[in-house]
Amino acid sequence: MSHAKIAPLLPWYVNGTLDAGQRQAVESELAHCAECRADVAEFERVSAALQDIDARAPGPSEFVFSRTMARIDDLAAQAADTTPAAVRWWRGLNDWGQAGAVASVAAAAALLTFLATHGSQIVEATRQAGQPQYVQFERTQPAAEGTVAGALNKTMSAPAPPAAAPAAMDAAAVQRVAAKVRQQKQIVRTGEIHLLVGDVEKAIAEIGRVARRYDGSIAALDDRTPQGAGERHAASMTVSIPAPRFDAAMEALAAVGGVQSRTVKAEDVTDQIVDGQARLRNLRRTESDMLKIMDRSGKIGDVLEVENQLSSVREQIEQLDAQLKSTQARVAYSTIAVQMEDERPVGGVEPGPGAQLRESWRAAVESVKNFTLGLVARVMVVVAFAPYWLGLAALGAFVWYRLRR
Amino acid sequence: MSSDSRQSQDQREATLLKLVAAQDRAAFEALFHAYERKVFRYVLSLVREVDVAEELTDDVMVEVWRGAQRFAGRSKPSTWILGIAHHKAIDALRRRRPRVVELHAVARMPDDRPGPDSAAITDRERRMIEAGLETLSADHRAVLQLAFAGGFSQAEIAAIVGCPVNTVKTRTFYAKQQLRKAMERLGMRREIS
Repeated sequence: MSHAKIAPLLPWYVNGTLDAGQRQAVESELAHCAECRADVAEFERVSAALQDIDARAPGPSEFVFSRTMARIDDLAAQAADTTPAAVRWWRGLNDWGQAGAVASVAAAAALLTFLATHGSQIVEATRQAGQPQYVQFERTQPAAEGTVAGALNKTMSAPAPPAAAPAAMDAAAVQRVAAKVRQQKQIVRTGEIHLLVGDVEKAIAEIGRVARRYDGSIAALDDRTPQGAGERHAASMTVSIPAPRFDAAMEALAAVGGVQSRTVKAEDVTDQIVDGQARLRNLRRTESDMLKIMDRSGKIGDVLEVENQLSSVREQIEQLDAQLKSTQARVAYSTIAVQMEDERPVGGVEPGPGAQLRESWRAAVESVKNFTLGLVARVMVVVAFAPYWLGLAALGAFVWYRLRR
Repeated sequence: MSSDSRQSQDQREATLLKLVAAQDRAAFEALFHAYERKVFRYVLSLVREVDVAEELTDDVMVEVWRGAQRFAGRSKPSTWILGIAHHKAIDALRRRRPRVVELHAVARMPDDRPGPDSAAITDRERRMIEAGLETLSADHRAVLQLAFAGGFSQAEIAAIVGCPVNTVKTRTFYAKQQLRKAMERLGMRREIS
């Protein structure tokens, strides 16, 4: 081997780890190479020094052995410990660690339950926000122009509920609708009006006068006097007004006090009445036919049979007649329901400081009660969800414990 | 030590390790006594502090207990155990403040204890080499220590330190160069003083 190949082998020659072949090669090189011999000498000095240092070095104290064996025993005990990893992990935590673990699990649980209980609401709210709104307007046909309903019709531009929406309006359809409107329609009009008044007694009297002025009458009156301080005097009345004067009466009633809300409903009963009248005619015809049969036939058996059917037919006639008359009456006379309420509660004097403080205290207690109830409710939800977040916590603890190892 | 007796020693130790893997306390004690001094001396040569070296020895042996299952018999028990020692020592060195501590440690190294006389070198030479060794990096000191105080082959050192055999070769070469330079510097100072 060349000198270049031998040189790296020299330290290993000195420490005696070369195999026989390599050793021989080195020795033959050493025989004639002074440089190599010098290197070997140097390595031998280093080797001697290191071994000397080693020999002089202090030994480890006896404590190392006992310390090590104590740790071994600990580890053996841990390995033999059959408590689940999660329990061991928990015990290994200091107070802060335990507090932190509980806090983070509680926070995760709270978040989960919040999402679970409110998540669907949030989704639903965002979905609904995107949809167009329909105005509920209870009529099935476009109302006549000059009426209240017609005026309302003009101001509201929302489409009718899909069930009653007419198909795309072409010119012919518009003509037909106009023609129909010019015909006599049977409409039942009802109104509802909420008023805020200064004096309920006076308002009741005024409403009575309005009803009589428009050829109507009071159909019902319900006057509720307040029982205690803080309540408001309220009353409701039902007024019956001839249909043609309905709109004017509504206007007059609105003037009695401050209008809180006003509703008008128009129900088209034309078809109902027309059908009813047609059926009535049929039934009457049937009745007369039956009478004729009874007259012609001589047999008792036939007569008795027809009698039975006749009485049932007459019953139907009476029912239908009464129905028709009632409907026609409703068409003829509209009803307006008036609700009124005093502006101020009874005992109009401002509550004194004592009363105000009592009120504040009551409100505070109420608020605490509600909060506590809410809290308890949420805790119950969390407890109900225990399988989920306990499982998650156990999984997290297990993973973390394994990572620590 | 002949290669045969070495082989049988390796086998014995491998058996002990297998028993340790099965949590055999007696087997572990035997291994402990066999390696305590070797491990201690090796880490001491690197960390230069007795307290730290003792702590590391403890850590190394505990790691032997814990990791015995991992020892698959691919390497020799000696290189495996000293490999653990090497890495723990290097970690300890990396973690602490460098240099300053080492100088103090040098002062603490009991230097005057009566030990076996070495005929190969003089006392002065030995002290100079010692001083020179102080200046070496941990990697360089490690290969020299393992090669000459430990008597390990290149392949064994490669297994202990966890690097290729060629790296061991070049490291040894550079370690010797560094040592020579350091000794020259020291030698020149001594001549002057």
